[in-house]
Amino acid sequence: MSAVAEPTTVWRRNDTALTRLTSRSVLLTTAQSDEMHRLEGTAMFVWLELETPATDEQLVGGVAAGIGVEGDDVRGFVLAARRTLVEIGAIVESDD
Amino acid sequence: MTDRGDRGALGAIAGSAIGTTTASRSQNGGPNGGDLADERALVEAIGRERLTGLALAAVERGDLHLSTAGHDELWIRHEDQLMLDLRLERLLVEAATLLERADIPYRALKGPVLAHTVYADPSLRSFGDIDLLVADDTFDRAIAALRALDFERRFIEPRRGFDARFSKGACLERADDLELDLHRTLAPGAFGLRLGNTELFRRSPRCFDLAGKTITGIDPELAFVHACFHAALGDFPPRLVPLRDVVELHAAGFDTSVVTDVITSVRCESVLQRAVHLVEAELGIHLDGELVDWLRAYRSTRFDRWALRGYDREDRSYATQVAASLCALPSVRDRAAYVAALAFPRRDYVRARERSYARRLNRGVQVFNGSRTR
Repeated sequence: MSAVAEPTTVWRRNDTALTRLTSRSVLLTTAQSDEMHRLEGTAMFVWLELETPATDEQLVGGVAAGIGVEGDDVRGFVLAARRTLVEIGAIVESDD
Repeated sequence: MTDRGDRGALGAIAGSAIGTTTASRSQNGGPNGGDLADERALVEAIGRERLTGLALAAVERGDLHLSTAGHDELWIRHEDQLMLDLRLERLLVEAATLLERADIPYRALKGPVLAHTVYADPSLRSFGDIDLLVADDTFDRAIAALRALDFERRFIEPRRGFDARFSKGACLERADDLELDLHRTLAPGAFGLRLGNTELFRRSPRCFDLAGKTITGIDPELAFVHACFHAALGDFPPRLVPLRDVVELHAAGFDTSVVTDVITSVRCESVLQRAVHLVEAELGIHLDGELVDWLRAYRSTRFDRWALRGYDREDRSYATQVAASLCALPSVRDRAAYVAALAFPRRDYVRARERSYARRLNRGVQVFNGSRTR
């Protein structure tokens, strides 16, 4: 998958993800992979934000609002985290 | 901290923060880590009892006090446990898919079912294996189907077909140390045989979603019965998680008339009575309600009291369990088959367990002597 997504691409959590949420991190694996992941920091915020499907800009806005900063301050971190989550199969493009 | 003190602290953690109006907790003080050596032992015991989620919740509420090092250690153990939970849930999804493909109806039991349908958060209910219930007549086929996941029986059965007819089930294991308990009923011994299997599949399941797959879980009423069986007959001293399950299920609510009908029809009231007693003794929680009031007042039979003694000691009496099972079997033919299988099992079973028929026969005599009516 291309690292650069269309601005209109909507992301959602992978239905096959298995997770546990703690106050420090999200532990995650998927039904297709033996790998176990610990999402912390921005990756954790992006995962939580994706409780409802969202575009990159909606993710940036949501994460920024959640931690009380401007969107420009976190855009780079959010997009990098989103790309990583796609790579590990935690999130996918929404069909809707 | 003494063993008893450790047990008390663990019980306080397992019984902490019960958000229900149908239970009340006795005021016997909260758990405390004590000095560093005690604290290390306590955290280790918390991990062993799979109580890390409840312990961290107790720390966050200020009910459990640990040093920074102890707190960090608890977090490490908690995350390790949660990773195991997730691996086991992935296994549950795979096993359920295989059984469905083989057209074998199943019910998921215990850990994942309760974590996702009863507890406030799945992180509060950890587990060490996967438990699946199948019907007697699909039991051997289910074991064959699960071989596709590289599972093998941990123990050889005394004779072919014995487990599908008389056992609680079979423990399956594989090289990565994951375990799957395939049940045909909910408990070993006389009470499990009384409960049998047929009724368990007549009731509508409680389904829940896991990794995009619908898992067929046991319904709330039978889940309560099972939690009580597990708490009362599972281990000695009793594991704390099944006791907490009893409390959580009771708080979540269910049709008590169904539970009463089921346990009355199979004469297992004394098992549930013992579970309610253990919840109070080990967790300090007094359950309220019509069902538990009725259980407290229930007068168990002489046979039940004797059969329960097989489960309530450190040296859980195999002899009593075998003898009580024999009495619980419905026909002379069943009893004969049961005795014959245990007295003259397959050679590979003897080799794996007791190495010789002479030792086996000697043990058979001990069982006979140990089972005399008291």
